[in-house]
Amino acid sequence: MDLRDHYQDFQARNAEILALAVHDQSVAERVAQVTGAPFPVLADSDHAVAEAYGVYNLLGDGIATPAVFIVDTAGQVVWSYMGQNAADRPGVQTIIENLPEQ
Amino acid sequence: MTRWMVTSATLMAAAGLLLLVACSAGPVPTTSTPLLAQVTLSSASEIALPLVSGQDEDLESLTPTHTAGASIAQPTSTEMVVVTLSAVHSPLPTPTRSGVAISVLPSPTLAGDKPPSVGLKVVPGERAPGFTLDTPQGRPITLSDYQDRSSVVLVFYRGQT
Repeated sequence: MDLRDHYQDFQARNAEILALAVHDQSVAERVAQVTGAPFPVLADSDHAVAEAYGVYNLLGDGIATPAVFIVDTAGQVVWSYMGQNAADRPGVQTIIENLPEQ
Repeated sequence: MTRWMVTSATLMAAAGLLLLVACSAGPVPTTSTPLLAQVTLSSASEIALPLVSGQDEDLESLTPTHTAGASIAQPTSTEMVVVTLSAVHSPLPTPTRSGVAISVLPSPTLAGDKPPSVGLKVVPGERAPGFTLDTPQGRPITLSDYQDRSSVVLVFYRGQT
């Protein structure tokens, strides 16, 4: 996922990226290092957040299905994408196109 | 005895009609795109979820045939039709959604050995659940801290990314 390479596009639109992983802190740290993510990679170790968003264990593997939610400044979800399998992710351009107007 | 049988038959007929209505009330999800089907039906998820977990007793409690059956004093064939129709059109809080939920039941995604957290809980137009999580460096990140941004993109990683 080349969110990293397009991070400036998100910042130019005053959008922030938060990555969440249903793992403990050490795995989240490794993900952050491996991907070189310039945005926070958060450990949802008890999968409470993944469950709140309804993406936990949908694929039966004990972690979150790949999913993206765009939350606007009012705290409302304005767009979401639910991966149908482990590799199903939206393209970065698709996410950018669905960012709300500033 | 005869009355009981007729009443029972009436109830079965009413239930059958209800099922027919249920099947035609919404799009029947195909098994090839179970998650997409949930997106389509997400507005009914709050009703669908207890149906899935509760199975038959919940299904029965949603059908209005109890009240219909109680009103059968002289079960004639004519009244059967009347009662059945009134059952179908009885003022359920959300009859259409109940029907959609019933039609979802055969979906292997919902009815299979999936965990209880199945289903889209957050769809566009709904409020994003708040959270506070720590970064690996121990810095707490709260979703509402970013209200000065135009948007926050939440990306659920799988750990091997």
